[in-house]
Amino acid sequence: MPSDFRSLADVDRIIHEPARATIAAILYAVESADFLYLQRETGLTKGNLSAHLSKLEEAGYVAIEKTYRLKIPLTLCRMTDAGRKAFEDYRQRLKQFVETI
Amino acid sequence: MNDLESLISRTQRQHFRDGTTELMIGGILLGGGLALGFSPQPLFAGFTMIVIILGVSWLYERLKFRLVYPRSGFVTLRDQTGPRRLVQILIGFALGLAIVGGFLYFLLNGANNAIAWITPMMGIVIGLVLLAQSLWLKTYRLIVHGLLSVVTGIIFSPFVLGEQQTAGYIGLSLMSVYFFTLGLAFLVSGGLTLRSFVRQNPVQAETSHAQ
Repeated sequence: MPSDFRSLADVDRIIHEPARATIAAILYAVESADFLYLQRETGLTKGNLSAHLSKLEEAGYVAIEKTYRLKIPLTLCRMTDAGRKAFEDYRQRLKQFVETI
Repeated sequence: MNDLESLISRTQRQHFRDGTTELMIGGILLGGGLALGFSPQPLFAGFTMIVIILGVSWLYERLKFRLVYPRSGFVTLRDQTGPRRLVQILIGFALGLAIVGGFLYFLLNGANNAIAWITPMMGIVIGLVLLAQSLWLKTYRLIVHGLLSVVTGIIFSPFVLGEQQTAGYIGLSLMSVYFFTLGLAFLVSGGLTLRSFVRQNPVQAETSHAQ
C-alpha cells in the first residue's frame, strides 16, 4: 500500500466520523458554542449530539462547561488545544490523500 | 476544506442575522446625533455619548440573552489570525491614514473648514466600509446603509464649500444630522430583522446537555 494511502488509514478515528467531524469543524471555527447552537448547525438529535460530544470530551478534544450568564443556564462547549491540534492534523491528512487520488 | 471557510463566514454573519447588532449601532448613532444636536457644550455631548454607549451595550446584551440565544443558540467567535487578520489590519491602517491625512490637509487650510469637512468625509468612508462589509458577510441589506452614508456625505459636501466663517457650526450640525439619519436607518432595519427572526425561530423547549 503506498504511503499516502497508508496515511489515511492512520487518521484519528475519534474525529473520522461524519457527525464528530462536523462538531469538530464547528468548534474549530468558534471560541465556544452552546448545545443548542451545535444542535442547530449539525442537525443532530439531542441524544446523538450528546453521545458524540461525550466521546470528544473523553478523548480530551472538547471541554464542556456548565455555567450561567445573566441567570440563564448555559452548557458551553469549546475545543481544547489537543483537539485543535488533532483536527488540524486530520485536515492535513485528508487533504494529502485527496490530492494523491 | 472550503466548507470550513464558509462555516466561519456563516458564524460571523450570525451577528447580523437577528438584527440586534443593527439596533445597537442604530441606538448609538441616533443617540450621538441627538447629543450633538441638542447639547449646549461639546464636552457635555461627549459625556452624554459615553452614557449612551454604556446604556445601549447593556440593553444589547439583555436583548441577545432574552430573545436571540434561546432561539439560535449561544456562540462566541475566535479572534481572527493569519492572512485575513493581516488584511483587516492593513485596511484599517489605510483608512486611518486617509482620514487623518485628509483631516490634516483641511486643518492646514483653516480649522473651521476641517470640522465642516469631517462629516462628508466620514459619510463617504463609513459608507465604503459598510459596502465592503455587506459583500464580505453577504449581508446585503447593509448595502442600503452604505449607500445612504455615501449619498449623505456627497449631499452634505456643497454645504461646506466656501463657508469659512460659519463652517465650524455647520460642521457640527451636519454631523448631528448625519448620525441621526444613519442611526434611524439602522434602527428601522434592525427592528424589522429582529421581528422577522423572532417569528421564524420559535424558542426551543429544552436546550441543556444531558449527560
